[in-house]
Amino acid sequence: MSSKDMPIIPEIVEAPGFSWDRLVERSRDRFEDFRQNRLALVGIIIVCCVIVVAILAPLIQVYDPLQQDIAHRLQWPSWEHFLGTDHLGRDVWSRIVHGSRVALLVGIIAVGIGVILGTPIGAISGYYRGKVDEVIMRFMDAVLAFPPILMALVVVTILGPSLFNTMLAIGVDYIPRFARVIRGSVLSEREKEYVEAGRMVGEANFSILFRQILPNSLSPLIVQSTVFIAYAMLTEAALSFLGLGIQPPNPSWGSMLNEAKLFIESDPYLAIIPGLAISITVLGFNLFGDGLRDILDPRLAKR
Amino acid sequence: MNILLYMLKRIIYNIPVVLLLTIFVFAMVRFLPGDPADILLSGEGGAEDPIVRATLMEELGLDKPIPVQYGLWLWRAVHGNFGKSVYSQEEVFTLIMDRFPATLMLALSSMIVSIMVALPAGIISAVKRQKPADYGAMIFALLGISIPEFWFGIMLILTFSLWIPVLPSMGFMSPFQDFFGSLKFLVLPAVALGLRMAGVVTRMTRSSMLDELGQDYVRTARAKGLSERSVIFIHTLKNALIPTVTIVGLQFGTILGGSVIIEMVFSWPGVGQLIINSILTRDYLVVQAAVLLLAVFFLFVNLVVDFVYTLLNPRVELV
Repeated sequence: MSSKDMPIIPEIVEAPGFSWDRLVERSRDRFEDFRQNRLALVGIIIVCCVIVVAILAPLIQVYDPLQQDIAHRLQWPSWEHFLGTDHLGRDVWSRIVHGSRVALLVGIIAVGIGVILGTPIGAISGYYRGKVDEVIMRFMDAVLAFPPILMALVVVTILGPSLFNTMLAIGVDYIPRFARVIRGSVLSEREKEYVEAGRMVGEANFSILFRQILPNSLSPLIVQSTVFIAYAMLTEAALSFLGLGIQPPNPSWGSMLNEAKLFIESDPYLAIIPGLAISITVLGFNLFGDGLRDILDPRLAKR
Repeated sequence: MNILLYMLKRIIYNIPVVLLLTIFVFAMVRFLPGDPADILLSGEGGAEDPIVRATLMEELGLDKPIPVQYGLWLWRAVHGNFGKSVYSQEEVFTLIMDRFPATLMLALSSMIVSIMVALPAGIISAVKRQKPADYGAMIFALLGISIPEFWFGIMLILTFSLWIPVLPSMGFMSPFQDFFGSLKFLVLPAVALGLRMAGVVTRMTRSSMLDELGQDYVRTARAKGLSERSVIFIHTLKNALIPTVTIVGLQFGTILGGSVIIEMVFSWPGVGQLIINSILTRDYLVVQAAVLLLAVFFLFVNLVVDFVYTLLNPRVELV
């Protein structure tokens, strides 16, 4: 058969720009893959459990997490106290349940700070490039030169230890990280044809950036967010463990570990339980993040 | 020649970054609410003595405008003069440098332990993908990045110092005093600190090995009849290691940060322990100097990693 005999099949060219329909369609395809991915499923289950526990905390906790009962201190897990009591007689289960609120709150708010402040910075830097990009990137590099915990320590030193300052401290470190992620995305998106098309039509830079480019940069942002929520929880636990995060008597998994240090020989459960809580929660978010990466960006998918 | 020019550019690029670092660290103490002199003297050991106060004010130029104060501070810092610790009255710089080798020792040994575990794990995992070895390595890596290092350290102490008492739970011995004795103190903290990095490097190595193994040249080599071992070890490993080198460099920052906490868990006399104790005793000059020096050190390590990377990767653009 010669080429003259071939039926003319119109080439289906994807419309440029961003389309919600296409995003939904692609997500639906990938969701099938996600369901097959058992580890990601485990991750999602863990994350949902933690969220449910955090929301229902006042209902699930059996005792007041702050209520001391010296007569019944340092009891091993029993029917009365599901996970035992600590050195002040406080119920460990109630404190763990309450600690989940702290962990989630810190994770979400710290990442929120990073996303809200880092996205415009990264977007502007990546889109306009040139001198603006150079200056902004220097600032970002200066913040990134601090090993993560050190940055949080510095902020807590200046502002004093508290729940809010902990969130701020961790969030500040995330601003340049998210800025970098967005900048990378914007740098590659801005070369695409729909951007040029928009310019030719006379669309304002600002509009192209925020209405076209950024929605296309959502995938890496979402994946990074889950990973950073996990990391924020670890950082908060570390800060509280050092006595520089959530202050006693408020329960936080990290500060519970700090208090458990003294009793580790006689009552190791006090040290094992909060650590397990942190590890399982962080594992859940990491698995979830891996699964999200598989759906949203199959190019980066693990094989 | 190109490489040298590139490195020069990188160094020049980093100079403003270092300057920004110094401004940030300087501002750190100035941002504290209250009178700077009161703050600097408020740590334990500070005197209410007006003479000490006046000396401090003159030394730091606290009555001069802020840019001048910054200039004075920076000038002294470059000459290694970071002032005196309010807590111990020692020179801050000496305090830090005395402890720096301990931190370095911990950081380096944990990196070595990490890499020795993670590289083989990542390679085997990639080569035997979807088989039990792969799943085992992936689970190990996931646990590595999810478990808090300080909790892992505590569990190690529980297991190897209390339940099966073979290793000490705290303390430090210089390797120059007794090499094998010092290792006993080093093992637990180094393993605890290295856990996270082991997880990250395992995943990275696996991922980049899989990338390489999927390349055309691998298929060609196999078709040419080269043995499996030759294919893997000689050709792919070299290429796969390139992104791993970068990750190792970046992880050094995590190691430095993590060492702060691990030093507290194991009472390891390093810079990290100094920083935490100084924060708790409000010895701000020490915190300021230690944070600055660690950050500059990290920048330096990144530069070195950059350099090694450009040497290893012939494809990188030296623009």
